[in-house]
Amino acid sequence: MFGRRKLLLTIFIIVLSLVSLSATVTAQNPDCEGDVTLTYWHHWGGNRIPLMEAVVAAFEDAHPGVCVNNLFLPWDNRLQNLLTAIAAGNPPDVTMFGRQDLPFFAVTEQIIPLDDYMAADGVSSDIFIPAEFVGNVYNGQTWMLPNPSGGALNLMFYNVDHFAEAGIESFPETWDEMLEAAEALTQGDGDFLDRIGFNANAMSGAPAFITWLNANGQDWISEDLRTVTINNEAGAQTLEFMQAMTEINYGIEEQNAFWESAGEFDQMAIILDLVSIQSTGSWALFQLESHAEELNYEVAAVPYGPNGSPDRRGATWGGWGFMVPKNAAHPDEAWQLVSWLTTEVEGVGGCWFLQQQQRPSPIAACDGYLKDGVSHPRAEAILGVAALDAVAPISPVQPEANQMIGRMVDDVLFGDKTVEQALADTEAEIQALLDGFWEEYS
Amino acid sequence: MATAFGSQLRALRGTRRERWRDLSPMRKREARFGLLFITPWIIGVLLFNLFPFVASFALSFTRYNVVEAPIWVGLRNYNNILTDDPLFWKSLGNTSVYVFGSVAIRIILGFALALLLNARVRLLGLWRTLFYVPSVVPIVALSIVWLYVLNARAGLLNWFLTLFGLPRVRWFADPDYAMLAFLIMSTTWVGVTMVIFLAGLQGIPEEYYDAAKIDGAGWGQRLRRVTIPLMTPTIYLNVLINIIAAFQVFTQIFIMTGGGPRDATRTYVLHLFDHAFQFLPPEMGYSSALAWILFMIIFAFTAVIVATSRRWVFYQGQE
Repeated sequence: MFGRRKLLLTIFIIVLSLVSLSATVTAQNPDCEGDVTLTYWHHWGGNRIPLMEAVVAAFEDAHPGVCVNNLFLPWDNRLQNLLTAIAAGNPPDVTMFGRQDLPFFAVTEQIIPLDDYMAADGVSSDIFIPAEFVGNVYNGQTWMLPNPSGGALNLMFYNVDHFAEAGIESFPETWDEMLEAAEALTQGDGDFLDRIGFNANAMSGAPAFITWLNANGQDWISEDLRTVTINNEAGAQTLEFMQAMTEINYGIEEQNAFWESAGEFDQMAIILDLVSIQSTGSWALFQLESHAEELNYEVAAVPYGPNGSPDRRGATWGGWGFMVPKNAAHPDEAWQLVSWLTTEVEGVGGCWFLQQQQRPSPIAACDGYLKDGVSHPRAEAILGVAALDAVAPISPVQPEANQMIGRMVDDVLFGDKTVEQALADTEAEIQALLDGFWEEYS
Repeated sequence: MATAFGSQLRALRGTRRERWRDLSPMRKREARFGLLFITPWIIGVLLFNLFPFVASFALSFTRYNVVEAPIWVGLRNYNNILTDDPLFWKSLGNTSVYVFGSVAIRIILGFALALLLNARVRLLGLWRTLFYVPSVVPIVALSIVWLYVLNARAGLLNWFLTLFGLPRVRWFADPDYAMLAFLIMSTTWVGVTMVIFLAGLQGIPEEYYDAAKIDGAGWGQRLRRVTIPLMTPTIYLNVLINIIAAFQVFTQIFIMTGGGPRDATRTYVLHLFDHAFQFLPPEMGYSSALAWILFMIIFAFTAVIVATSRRWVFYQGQE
């Protein structure tokens, strides 16, 4: 009987232990020996996991005594995970972080400013491309460092054969030319589309309206993030352009219904031959080379609006970076890891990580397309387009503001409001939201 | 009344004490082990159900962004929801359409299928399994399948419509049809309702039907006079279960439309989720208030159904 009792208790303890163990999945180098173990969260999944493991291993080699508990987490729940960890007083030492989420965390001081560390280690902000660095600064302090690029989000990949069939000789530079080209490229029977020339509502990066407004020479919010600036001539021109483009695609319902079939990632619309021009980011290069070797395509910049200029096209919007949360257990060593992930050009660090994926770098001295000593044949074209990017400011209430902007565009495209009414209503709505935020958090 | 209740309680307590005293050492040991083994479950319920339940009520009177201490705001969240949040009313309206539509579909279709399968059909087990299997498929996988079925250009349903000369429908792009698409999708879970109905049908004694036949009742009369009245307890159960579940519809809408187009499929829980987990700063206090309003609505519906059940639910042997 005693034996049975012991057995039952043993089973009970084992079950409890397993339950507690199942909550933690870690990837720690068993060969690393050190007094300090950093907890590091990132969202580089798929074929980037071994690349990040190599970067972390190189960091451990270069920093004896510091080990890294390298944890991959899905990116879509990142804020829930991070907020929960911070609230529980057990945040990671270093985490990958969206620049678009910075204002709230900086205002509530949930992040450690990096300026002192940068000064002590001689890391100057000058090593970064200015447009990439500005999104990491808030209230005059640097809260995170960037990697990869937050630009090159609005590259216009276009099908050269479609252009030739339609008799279009070069990629449109202005909105008027873009409308003409889209009309010539779109195919269908008048009710149902067979091919879209271009979908102005499907822009990567920032919400489509903000991207087009940026290409029309206008920021959507003031530099101090306190005043919404969409209800003006540039805003009206932007909505009218999106409206005209949607009409070419037989209206918003058919455009959206068609786009459902267009797919994404490795099933990009341009690969499926469903669209002639597709806006996407520099990461699409990998998909196109892997899944569409035969596709005859080129890359161009976002056309500019009547209020814009040829020098301001795509929107640098957010992007990723790395930061140290407040209450991190080992902030000094955490800074060393942040620096390795973002400023290391020579070793297996931040630059090498991008080169393996062939995507642009926010570090001026790092050619992200240079892999094994050879640059990518399209690197020059993509970097040339990215050089025309301008920073689109991000507000501390951005996710909710994005929903409001999306509704405004729908109000116009579905014909429920005039352009003027939609702009006035939405500007007032977002302004009220923003005022509420500053009232509570100033 | 109170005295009678108190004496019953005292009697019950006394009985329990006597029973525990009367237990043999071996049974006592078993009981202790039983309690030990359900301890994780009890701890789970206390920590992950009861505590959040109470905490969310307290948080509903605060402004809480998760990373800072909650700030007491009294009834402000409730006031803002009811007077200054157009999406609250929009999402509540959408959810109501889904609740009434999907519950009606699942009750009527589930009952009809159960009647069919209750007849002496061949391969009964196979049919039951076929109708039930979709209910156990993960909802994410189901959502992906339905996205293909309801695809405007190449979807199975539109292909079927065109066979009859009907026009293609832009299910998820047209605000007039988007919620209808989710009502069609709700037939996926009809298997659960059907199985419960089937169990109820098999509990009706054959003698009632024999007596009705002798009295000259046809199939329709037997259905109206015998089957449906005796099935009211099962209908009652199914209505309650389905209403409570339908009010909380979320996953498929989050995956398939995100509440669009034009907020035509923005349901209540999706609205709540946005404020809690999508927006910055997180609005946990506001979301808690939304959750408590939903709780009160579901509670009210349930109370009305329970209160009126005496008028329309009949049990065998009841006068």
